[in-house]
Amino acid sequence: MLRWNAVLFLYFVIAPVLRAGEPLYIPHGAAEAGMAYAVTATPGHWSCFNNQALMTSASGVTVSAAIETRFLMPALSSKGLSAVIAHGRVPLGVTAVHYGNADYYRIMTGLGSAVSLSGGVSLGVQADYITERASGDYRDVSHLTFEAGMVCALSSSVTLGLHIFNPLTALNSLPSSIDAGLQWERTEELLLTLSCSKTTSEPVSIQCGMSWDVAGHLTLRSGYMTSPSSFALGLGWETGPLKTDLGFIVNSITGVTSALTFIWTIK
Amino acid sequence: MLGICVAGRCQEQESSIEDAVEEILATNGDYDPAVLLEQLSDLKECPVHINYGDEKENARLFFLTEFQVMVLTDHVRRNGNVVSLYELALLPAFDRSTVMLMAPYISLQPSGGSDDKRYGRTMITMTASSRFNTADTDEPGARTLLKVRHDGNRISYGITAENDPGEPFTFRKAMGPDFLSGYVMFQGKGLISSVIIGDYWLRAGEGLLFNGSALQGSSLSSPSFMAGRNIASPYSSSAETGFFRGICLTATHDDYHAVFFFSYRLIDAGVMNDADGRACAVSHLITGGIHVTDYQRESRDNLGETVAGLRLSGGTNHYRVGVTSSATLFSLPFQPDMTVPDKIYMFTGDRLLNVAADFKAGTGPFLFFTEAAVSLPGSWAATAGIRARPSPGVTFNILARHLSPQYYAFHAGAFRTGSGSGNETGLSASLHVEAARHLFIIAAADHCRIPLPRYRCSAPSVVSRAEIKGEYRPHENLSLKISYTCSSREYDTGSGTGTPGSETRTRNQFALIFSCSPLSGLSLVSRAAVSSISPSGSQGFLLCQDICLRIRTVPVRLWFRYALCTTDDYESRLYAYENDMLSSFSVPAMYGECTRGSLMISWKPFGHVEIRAKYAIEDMEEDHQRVLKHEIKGQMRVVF
Repeated sequence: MLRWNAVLFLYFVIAPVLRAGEPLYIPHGAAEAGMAYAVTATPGHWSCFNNQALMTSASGVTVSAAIETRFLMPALSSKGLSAVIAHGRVPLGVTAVHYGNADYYRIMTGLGSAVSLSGGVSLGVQADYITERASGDYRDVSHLTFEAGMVCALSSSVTLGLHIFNPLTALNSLPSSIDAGLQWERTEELLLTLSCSKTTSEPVSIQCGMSWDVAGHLTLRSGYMTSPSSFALGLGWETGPLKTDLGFIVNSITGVTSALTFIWTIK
Repeated sequence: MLGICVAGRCQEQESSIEDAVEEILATNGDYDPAVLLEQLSDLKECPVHINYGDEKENARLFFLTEFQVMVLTDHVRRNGNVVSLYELALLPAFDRSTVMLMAPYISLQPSGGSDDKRYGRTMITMTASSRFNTADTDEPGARTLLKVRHDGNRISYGITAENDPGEPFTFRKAMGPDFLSGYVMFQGKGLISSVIIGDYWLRAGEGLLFNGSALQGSSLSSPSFMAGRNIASPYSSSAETGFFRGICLTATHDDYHAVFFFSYRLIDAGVMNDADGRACAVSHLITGGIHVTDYQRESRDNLGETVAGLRLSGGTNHYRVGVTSSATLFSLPFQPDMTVPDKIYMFTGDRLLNVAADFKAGTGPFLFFTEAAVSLPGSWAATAGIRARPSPGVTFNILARHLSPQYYAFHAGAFRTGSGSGNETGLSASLHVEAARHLFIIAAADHCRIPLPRYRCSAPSVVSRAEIKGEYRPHENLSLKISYTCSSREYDTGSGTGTPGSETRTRNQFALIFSCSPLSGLSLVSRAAVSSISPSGSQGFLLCQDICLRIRTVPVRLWFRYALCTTDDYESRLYAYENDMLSSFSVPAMYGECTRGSLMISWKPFGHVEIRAKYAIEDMEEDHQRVLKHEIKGQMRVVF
């Protein structure tokens, strides 16, 4: 009970002073893209970096490579590598993401961990180092910040997730974001998710997603986000230790964003 | 598990379709629900006896797909009578939303012992209505409608005669009424399964070529984006467009079907004259069906449309393939005004050839459907979708479509956002979830890009819609519905010379409907709705109360409505479906400072006769101008 109160106290103290803009951390993972990133409470390799508290549901060691191409434009693509090591009680996650091209790029590296509390509550935190470089006379900048997440099992099938990124806007001028999401595991094969996110200077976005394990190895996904208003579609294929995910986000104005992820599980 | 009921309600047709129609009318002025609502009204009066286990009988539920009709028929044949709607929702290819849609239009009367169909059933409906108002904005006169319909085992026939207010009843160069429609249908049991002579409508594939009843295009929250089953059916609506006139023959052998049809019809069109004053071309079609002003009378029956076509289809229980082809010849060539941006890609010429191929596959939890079509002259169109039921209580629909601007089909009705047959590329999805006991949620979204100009928008544009609906039905006599709809479209701004600017207008609408039946024979429906338009900031509010009273001691039923509406302008108008005459509908638009009341009475003096009368009064004030409208309707129906 004391831990519950502490979590809620911290959340309500921090939340009112948070400010939210374009997230510096571009969400990754084709499985997550296929569900319109409505994954704040949904376990998965890359979801661990969207909400660090989800690392507590990871097992073994997983390593992943991901690529996302916004609107099919190479200059707006991002490439990421990550690993989640969950052998002990305290899992460890490490990620590095490169976004942009030779003229302008941003590299974000993060190191995070999570811990399980009693009552189905987990907390996670990640330290981020962000480097931004541009050609010409523009000044290169670097920032150090952090993000944190919480996951709470409301019932055997419903999970609540909360995530904040960079609550230090007043200090480092970086935008911050807040996400809250629900996951409903309707059956073993079917997941329904709903998330709400607010980023500094951006409208509130509501995302919903669905993941359907059709035939053991094949997973179909779909989702929708309100801002920017887009549909998401995806599929995943698992063969032995290798899992391949493909995701597309379709916006009627800007076009298609594609994502491809390979996840290798090392037991 | 389900909260389904067929009990009498305040809304005579307790169906999600009426809710959907209100929302679509508010956001799409081009949408004409007349044919659809009249077809549903006919079904309501002659409900489908699903326990007969007769595929033809079940196929009258025109919004069901072939798979659903087949599953329903097989279920009754194998397991006997359906005693509850609950069991229907558990059948493969069915879900709660579909059963809710069917509920008002089916009968669970046990099969056997009924000789209703031995001699057939004849229905005669006579309706007269008139409007009076203080501003003289409506055409004086009365609307009269006569419908005669006989449904027999082998022979069916029907006549529809209608005069809109101001239209004369004359035999001078006319058949008497302004609109006269009729058909004779023969239904066989051999190779020739049906022959229709007269007026009929068609649906083939997903409607890229033919669909006279676009139910699936009417609402994002429809149970399915699939078109219903392939149909060649008699036409009995009073809507004066969208049907064929001629002969239609359907041949069936096992699971293979062939439909041959020929039609010749005169349609209303605006014509252009040559130097000698003779009609030489058509600039546009006129679809209103009103012939009151000089221009409307001059435009009447100016264009002859000859259509001949063929559809072949076949398959198994798991897949179905069809090919549809048609050739159309117009008596005058089309020459649209190319100086208007939204006309530059319109059909030109007097001949059109269409070919389409469709495919459906799947069973139970997963159905895939697609259709592709080409028009000569013109371009191509394709639509494809999936209907999935990943677990009981969850249904997911997704549909992608590309309709080239130069794709032409004059009787198309595929799922789409706008009107017409082409100029749209879009993606739609919906999710139906039984979230908890008695709680049902529907979420749906649609995005489409209009690549070339359209009406009131001279540039490529984007349209998006999203709907969230929730229904809590803890008891069959109690339900609470909440809906939120957001729709945005781009429109031209400015009226000066030069290229107009573009502005995205968004309409947000929130509605709450509470219905209950506190006493046997008494039903109440309370409705509240709020609309908000941006960027104009226009807002609208509506409160509406319906009371329905069934008096058991005398064969009388009463409906009373009182509605209050305040909107800043016409843009934020609100609609509320209103009970009306049989085979008719009323969805009045309310705007300005508006008060509307109506009283309708139904009296059944004998078992075969029903008499209805309705009086409505509307007090509307807009721009400091007050208009008082009165509406009187009377109807008599005889069924024997």
